[in-house]
Amino acid sequence: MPLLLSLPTILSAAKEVFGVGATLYAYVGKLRDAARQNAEWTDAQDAAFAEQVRQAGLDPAWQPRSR
Amino acid sequence: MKHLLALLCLVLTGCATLQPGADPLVVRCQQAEATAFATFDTFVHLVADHETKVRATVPAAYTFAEWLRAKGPDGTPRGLAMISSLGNVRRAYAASRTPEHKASLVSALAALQAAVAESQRHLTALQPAR
Repeated sequence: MPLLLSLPTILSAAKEVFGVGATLYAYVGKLRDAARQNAEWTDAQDAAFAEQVRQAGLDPAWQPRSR
Repeated sequence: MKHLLALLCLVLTGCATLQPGADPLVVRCQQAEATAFATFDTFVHLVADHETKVRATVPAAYTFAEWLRAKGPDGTPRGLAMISSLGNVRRAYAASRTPEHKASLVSALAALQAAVAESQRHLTALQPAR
């Protein structure tokens, strides 16, 4: 998966700069989980993911700063 | 760094064989949706948590975060709308596996993967102010 190949650079740069190791460890874990998926989601899993994405839209970090 | 490399090995070797009956394209899209959500969410949170510094030192990353956060007509941030859109196209394809649906799915998948790659490119650009 090509997207994963740049991770060493991403992790070393971002961790060094911002001290955000925990955030990035969590990120790697999520990527690992996605890579390990070997079956189609159930309807319940699909709905849960869609709801997770919808809820993220309410997070302050996702609000645009400029109008 | 050793721990990071160990985690990366898990990521890079963790791809499993598909279960019988699973459509590879559907699973690939679901993996892309999960990867995109993890990437975008991590990126916008990092930018939000260090907004002043990012804005001053990595303006292109800040601009891209704003692009992801920009709201569409229904109020959904663009990055999340792209993930939801791929999910909608994927479900349409799963319900009716026509060549047209497949083409739409491949196109939506490519668009999302491009945005993820751009997010990761900006993550690598998070460098300290010198």
